[in-house]
Amino acid sequence: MRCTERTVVLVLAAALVGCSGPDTRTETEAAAEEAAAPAASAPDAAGSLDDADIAAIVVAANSIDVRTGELARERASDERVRQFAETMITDHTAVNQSAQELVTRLGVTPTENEVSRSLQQSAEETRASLLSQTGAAFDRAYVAHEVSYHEAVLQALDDTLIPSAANEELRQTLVGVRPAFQAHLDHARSLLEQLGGS
Amino acid sequence: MHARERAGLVVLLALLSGCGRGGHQVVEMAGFEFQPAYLAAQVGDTIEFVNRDGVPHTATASDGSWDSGRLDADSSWQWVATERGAVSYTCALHPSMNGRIDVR
Repeated sequence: MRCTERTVVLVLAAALVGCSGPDTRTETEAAAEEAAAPAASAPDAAGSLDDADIAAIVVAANSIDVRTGELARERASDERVRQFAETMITDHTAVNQSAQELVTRLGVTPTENEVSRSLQQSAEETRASLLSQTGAAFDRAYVAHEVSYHEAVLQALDDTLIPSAANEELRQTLVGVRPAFQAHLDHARSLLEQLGGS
Repeated sequence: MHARERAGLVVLLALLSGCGRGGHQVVEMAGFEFQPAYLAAQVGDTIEFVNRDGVPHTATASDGSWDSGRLDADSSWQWVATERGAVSYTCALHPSMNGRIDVR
């Protein structure tokens, strides 16, 4: 597993269970970020996630995979990888639309939090790493990332997001989107095997 | 035409219209599964695929003999079983979704 993939897993799996993960910021950067984001608003443990936090995490997780898929659609050299990326864009856009409709109906406003911000930061690192690769190497790196990403999201859904959801309709929605992530994971694993990756 | 003859014709036509017509079965695409994943059908049966998920799916024969194309949420497509045999199918967008129909 590459560094960026490990980062994704760590950010999703570790941050969602309450760990802050490795802090690579300088003291100045850390101080600036902490000043901008009061500690009281950041979920510091799984139990502290409220529905607004969960909504923001779900929206961020889907949006990130759409954006990564758009990059892969442009750069993938293998048609199967391009088609997979197209499916990720379509499906995660649809999931996000459903999530947006639900939170609007429930009157929940997604609130940016430590986890959603960490996801965005990790996504930028992943993007930079993918942009440094081309051809078959890019294809394998993208699909390997998708394997790790969907594993991490599934773990987060099972261990944290679903158990933490207070609103029953939100909880059921999270349960309902789980098969999509599982199908994507199965597809990505199969594709990676076909590409000769591991 | 007398009333009695008309009545007889109506009955005859009604009976004939029922002959040779296959059944209608539904396979739902829900939770990223074909439900039911296995179906026993008769020649002449119509199989309707209905997408209940919020994302597009396809019903695509593994041997390439038929393909629904992209089915958006809440849309459907029908396939008529014209010959005996087993046919496996998948969702071209989500290969982990698989089903089989045995036509007898």
